[in-house]
Amino acid sequence: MRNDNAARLDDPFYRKQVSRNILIIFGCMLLGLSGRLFYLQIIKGSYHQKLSEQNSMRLQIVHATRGLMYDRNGALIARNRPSYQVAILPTQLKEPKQVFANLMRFQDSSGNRLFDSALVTWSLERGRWKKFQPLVILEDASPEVVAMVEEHQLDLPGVVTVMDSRRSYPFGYNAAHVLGYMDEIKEDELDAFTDRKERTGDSIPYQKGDRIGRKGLEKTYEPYFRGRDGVRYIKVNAFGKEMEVIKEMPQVQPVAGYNLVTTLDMRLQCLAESLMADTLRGAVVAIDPRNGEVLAMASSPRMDGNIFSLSREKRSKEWAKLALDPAMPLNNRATVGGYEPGSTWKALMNVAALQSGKVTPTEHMPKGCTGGYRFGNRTWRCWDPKGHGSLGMIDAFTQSCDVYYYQVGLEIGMDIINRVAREFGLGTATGIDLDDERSGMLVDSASYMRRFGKRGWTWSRGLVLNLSIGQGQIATPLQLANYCAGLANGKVVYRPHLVKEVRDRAGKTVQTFQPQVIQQLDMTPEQHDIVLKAMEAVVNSPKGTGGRARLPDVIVGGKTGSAENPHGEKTHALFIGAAPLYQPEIAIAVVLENVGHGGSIAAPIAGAIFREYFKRKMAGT
Amino acid sequence: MLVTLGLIMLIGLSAVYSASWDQPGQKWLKQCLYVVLGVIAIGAIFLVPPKVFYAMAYPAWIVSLFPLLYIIIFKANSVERWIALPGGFNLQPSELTKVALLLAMARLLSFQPIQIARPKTLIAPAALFFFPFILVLNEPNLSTALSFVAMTGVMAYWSGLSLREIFLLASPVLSVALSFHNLAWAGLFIVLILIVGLSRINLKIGALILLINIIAGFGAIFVWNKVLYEHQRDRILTFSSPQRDPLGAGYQVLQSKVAIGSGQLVGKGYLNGTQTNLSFLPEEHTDFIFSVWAEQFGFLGCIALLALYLYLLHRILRTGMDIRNRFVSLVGAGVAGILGFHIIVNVSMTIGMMPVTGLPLPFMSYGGSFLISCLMMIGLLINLRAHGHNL
Repeated sequence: MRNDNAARLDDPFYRKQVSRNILIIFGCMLLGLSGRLFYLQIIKGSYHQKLSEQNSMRLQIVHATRGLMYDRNGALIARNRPSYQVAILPTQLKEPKQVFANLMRFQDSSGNRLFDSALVTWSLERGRWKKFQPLVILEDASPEVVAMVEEHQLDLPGVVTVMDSRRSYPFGYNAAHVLGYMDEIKEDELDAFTDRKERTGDSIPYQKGDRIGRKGLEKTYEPYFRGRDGVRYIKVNAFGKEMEVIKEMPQVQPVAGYNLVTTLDMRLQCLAESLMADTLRGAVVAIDPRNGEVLAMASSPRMDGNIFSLSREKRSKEWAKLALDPAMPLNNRATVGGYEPGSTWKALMNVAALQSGKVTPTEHMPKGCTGGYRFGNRTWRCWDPKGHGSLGMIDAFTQSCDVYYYQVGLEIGMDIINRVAREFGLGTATGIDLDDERSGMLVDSASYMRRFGKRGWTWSRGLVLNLSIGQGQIATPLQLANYCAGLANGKVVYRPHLVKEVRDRAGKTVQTFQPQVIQQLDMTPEQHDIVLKAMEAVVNSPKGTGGRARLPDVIVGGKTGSAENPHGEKTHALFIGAAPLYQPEIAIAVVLENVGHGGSIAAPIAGAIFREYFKRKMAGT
Repeated sequence: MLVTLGLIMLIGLSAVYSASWDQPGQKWLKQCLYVVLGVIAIGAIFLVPPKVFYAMAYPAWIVSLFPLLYIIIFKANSVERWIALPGGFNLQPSELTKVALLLAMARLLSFQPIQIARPKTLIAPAALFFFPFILVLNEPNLSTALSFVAMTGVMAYWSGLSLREIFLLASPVLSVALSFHNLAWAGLFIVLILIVGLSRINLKIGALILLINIIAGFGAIFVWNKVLYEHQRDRILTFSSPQRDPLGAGYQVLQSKVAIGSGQLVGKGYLNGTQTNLSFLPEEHTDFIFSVWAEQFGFLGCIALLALYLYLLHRILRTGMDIRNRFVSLVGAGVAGILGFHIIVNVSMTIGMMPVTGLPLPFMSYGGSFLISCLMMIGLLINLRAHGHNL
């Protein structure tokens, strides 16, 4: 028994039997396969022959509907419109030269060729080895062109029109910087997805020719908008026209993308944009201080996101115009524009002065204002050469007296000033849900030497004077608005955000974005009260610089600024303000480049926005 | 045997050429290079005294595990199953493991055949089999792991086990697969109990086999639900039902069926395959090379090709049968097992009878590692046949 099997192994007859059995099993399997081959090739042979000749079965990608965008009141601000593409189906192309010649005969009303000969040649060439991709030769074709191509289908075998959808922004220029735009996916982005597939096995969510969010909310929330494409098999006729869906084949239904409810209030947004002529450069940002929701974010000059949905030719023409414009309309100045905060900085100086314990609200600085302040061997001027005399904190703030703040700065030092600035979110990016954001810049001796030491400049106490009146730091309009929201709120600084809710197609809320605190403010109620009183006086006292933001029945508080800058004769005009000052609902920052004083130019814009906001609130909407 | 082999490789080369002659990349030239390399490998192997293979069987088995471990440790987050070599070549360690396992198993079984009545004889072969099996399974490369099962099964049969006994021993693998379907799993148990009852197998051993099946089944369910991540589960599901991913495998199978079917009785003629020339298959020169051949040469061409494979297998088995040396004889059986498995699975896949697993067709599919490892096995066999009588 022990060597039973071993003996078998040596037995030639046993081996012969085993080998025959293995061969029989294998042969039976092959016979089964042959049976199947017989069925496929002989019984169903002519059917498959026909299928392969016409090549009538085609895999079609069913694009998922992209999610829409709404403003906070339900107005539709980004939607999808139908768009036709004319494409070549290489498998159906029998006579490329003839088709090329026929395509070149199409002309528009002014006698120009409709189809770009270089693009068509390239597509025909490429079609020889990329045979199963439709190759687009005319994007976003007009209905007339589509009709023409369909009419001449007999002359154009292998040329088809494909319906697709493109993004459209009903408000056009308004909020275009915030909404962003879409663009065709790039080769290297596709490659990145392919790499990821090889590493993790995740499927590739994009095909060549797909469009992807390129800027603004379209980019940030791309995964929400995108949904998931479906696939199905369709039967096409000899010209490549789609006839029917083949039901027996596996199908994947597309899943529509999510809709987004933004925090924008389009009425305020449109108003803000109408208040800034497109010849001006600047930005307006309005934030709700209670939660960081951005109510309006305008940047001037503007652009129209719709141009990115046009055909390649028109798009590149428009794009060149925007990209070469020295005013840089493609930039969202609200988040990437860096400006010196000027006198709007002084509100923060008040907070720092009170917190340092070295300055009391009623205390006057050693020297009164005579239109200038002598420090070392140089005189630093006050903006008003007539001088303001000797003032306490609230009066100095109201009249924006530089001399007072020079002395405050020297007294309390840059350390505490910058600490408070950081508390208000200055010097670091706010982390808003947009792709491009500058972090701004705060200046202390260390950062100054890092930046300018190479040029041989050295930190001196004199610089503290400039920095005390907001000359030298850099902040974005968004940071200024958020800083103002913090001043009004007095307790915390929220992360500004642009999206309230994510909803599915049926309108059900799937995700809500909660307010997010980024900084706790270290301010006692008494200190806060003084800061607010000072801001109230700027707008409401007769001597205040911000009177043009005043409202009859709502208390507005704020601060004007006129920042000197190397780029022009006139100063940048700034205004930050909040209302109702003691239960704040809206905080605004206005920055306009090279137009003059904040009080005369920026404050009225904020005033108009406040008026619209509260008018509607009184009316009950 | 060599003539048959040469014919098959010629067919393979011409099919690779017809699939890629109009595309950039010169795949067929590269394939020629692989063939030449493979033939050189056969020659080189022929010069080695067979004693060396016998002596090296166990050390080679151990060494071949290291590249697999390397992949598991350093490529944990990827599905790559190869190690990049200088010069743009990729090495698939599982192919080396295959040859090493073949040798080691042949050596072990040649002096210690498995006897189901003596469970001790099971331990060593099981260990020999399970380490590479688990490592390759983990790569993840389910199809190659299953080809190990086929190879070991044929060798076990050759060494004296009956088909029933092999079924019993392989049943835990079935349990893992079937445990997700209660009825099917119950059916498997009924069959197992019948076999245990009808054959004169020790009851204790029968009970042990049933117990192992139960553990394997519940273990699989536990691992599936608790251990695996979502994406890992997805990958396995897509493996077993490619229709889940109609963009990929489902589409290929459909087009492959159309290509094969449209070949009809005699095919469309060489280089006239419209489906092939339209590049409908991304993997046409690798996994779907059979469809390329079938479209151009039709049903008769397919039958001829399958007959060639059958004859090749017959020749290999014949070698194993004629030789008195147990080791050589077992190597022959193992080679036949693994080639047969590849042929059946690959052809079934192209005609839509099995999931698309990425298992290539021996001597025909484009790809270096696999071709060379197949040729090495043949070279080994020729060598042993010539010199191995008095090992």
